[in-house]
Amino acid sequence: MTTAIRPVPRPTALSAPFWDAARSGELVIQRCATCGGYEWTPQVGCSRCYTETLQWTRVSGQGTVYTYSVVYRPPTPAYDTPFVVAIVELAEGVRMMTDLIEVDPAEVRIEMPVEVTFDRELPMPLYHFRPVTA
Amino acid sequence: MTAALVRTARRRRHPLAQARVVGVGTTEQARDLSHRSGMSLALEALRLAADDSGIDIAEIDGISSVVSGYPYGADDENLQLSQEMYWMRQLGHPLRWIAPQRGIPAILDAAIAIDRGLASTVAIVVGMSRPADSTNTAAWSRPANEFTGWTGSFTAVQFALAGQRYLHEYGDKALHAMARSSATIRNYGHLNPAAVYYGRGPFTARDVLDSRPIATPLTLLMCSTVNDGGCALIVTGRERARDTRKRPISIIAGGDQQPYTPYVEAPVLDGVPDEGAFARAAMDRAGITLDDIDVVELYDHFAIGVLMEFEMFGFCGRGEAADFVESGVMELDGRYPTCTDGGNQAYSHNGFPAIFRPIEAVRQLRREVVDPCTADGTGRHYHTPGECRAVRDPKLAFVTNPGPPTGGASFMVLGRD
Repeated sequence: MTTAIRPVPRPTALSAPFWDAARSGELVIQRCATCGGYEWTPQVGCSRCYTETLQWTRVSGQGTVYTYSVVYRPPTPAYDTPFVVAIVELAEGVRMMTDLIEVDPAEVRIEMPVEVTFDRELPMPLYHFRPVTA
Repeated sequence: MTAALVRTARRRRHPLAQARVVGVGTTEQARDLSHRSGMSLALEALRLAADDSGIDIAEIDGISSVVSGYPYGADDENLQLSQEMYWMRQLGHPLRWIAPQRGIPAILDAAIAIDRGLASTVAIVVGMSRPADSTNTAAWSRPANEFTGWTGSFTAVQFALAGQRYLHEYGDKALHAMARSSATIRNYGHLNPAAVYYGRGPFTARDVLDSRPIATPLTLLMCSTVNDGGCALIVTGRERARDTRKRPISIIAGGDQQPYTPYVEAPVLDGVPDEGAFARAAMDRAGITLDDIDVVELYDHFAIGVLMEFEMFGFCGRGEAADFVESGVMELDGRYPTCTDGGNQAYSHNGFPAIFRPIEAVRQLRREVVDPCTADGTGRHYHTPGECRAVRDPKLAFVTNPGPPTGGASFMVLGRD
């Protein structure tokens, strides 16, 4: 019997700066130097003006819960249930799929303010979101 | 000219008008067919569809294929050839048309290819079986899922995220409507001897709500089943179709729209200004509207998908699907009987169930449905809801393939001339 593992993100040449920043505890998103738009997930060109002037830019780390789901059936036994998957809308406008931690699943609400937090342990850093504490 | 003649005239100039669906075949659908290979199920389905049509497999010169574990020995990452390219060897003869896509788009492409003379007879084949010890969720470890897989998301979670947002925007009453839609579809499966859920109902919305939570707001009975099985569908030209065994079924309209890259990107839940415009335009070119539709075979991956497809294709307005479903519209005595074989939730989800939707539509249009009515051997249906699943005198069927939120929504209208 093999030990179940969680999928581990594998950085690409394109996404490496994102994961490097995460390792330092910073959230960076590509921003187009030509039209000013933010781009997530990482792309080669801007999806608005199609130029290749995207620059990794530090963002606030603040956002709100756009939607969520409390998961009771894990994709592998490596996940403890229940856990919360969410799509967070950053203050900068892009939406990221993530999980919510440090929260009672029963208290999660759409539009709830959240902030990014990083797990910087090896082998790969991960970004999570947690409720903003007043 | 009368309205009917105008509609007929517009249809005849349509590039889909030259093709006919002439054969369908389905193997046993069951939880565990691991003793059969995907290719064995695909071949069985192909033989069944060929027998159904009376067309010899030797005539097939075009193919679309989704077969698990095939070709044997090929390394996924180095596979240079599409799976369809291996069928020349299995069929033992050359092919003129290889499907660029799978599912309903493949059927539409095949019809156009036949219209243009690029193929004469096309087989759409599916054969799926999983190893006996496989888990039930889709693999999430591919590198392309770099920004979604680690969260613990899987297919049902993608839809759950959409469902949770839908409830937020349109009200919690939609949860009961989701459960009602699943109960209705499962009750058709309960009446279908070929269904994985045959005889396991009847179901109520309460039963669906009380089933095991998977990912809020989805419960187990709001989700597709998981099983093995195969199917096939044969398309040929109008002239060739005159000499086949069964009444040929026409493709009246069809189209496809892909909103975003599924599983790699987070589900897009809004932002597509008018998702159903492409479908209305296609139906308008064919001279038909939803008022002409008699039976609906939606791709019912999850309960929230059913509601969203009704809205997307214009059966009801945005945010109106809950009331629409609760009005009983999906029942046999409703305006749009839906998923009359039990759908993905109760008939079969073999990993690639896209083709089961048009197959059920064909069977309804041909008046070939098997249910408790047919046990008396007379072939007559009584159309009593809860005891019968045959739609009374259907002429046009609306058929869809995977819709939002995980991306892709193709549709076709099939008709009995």
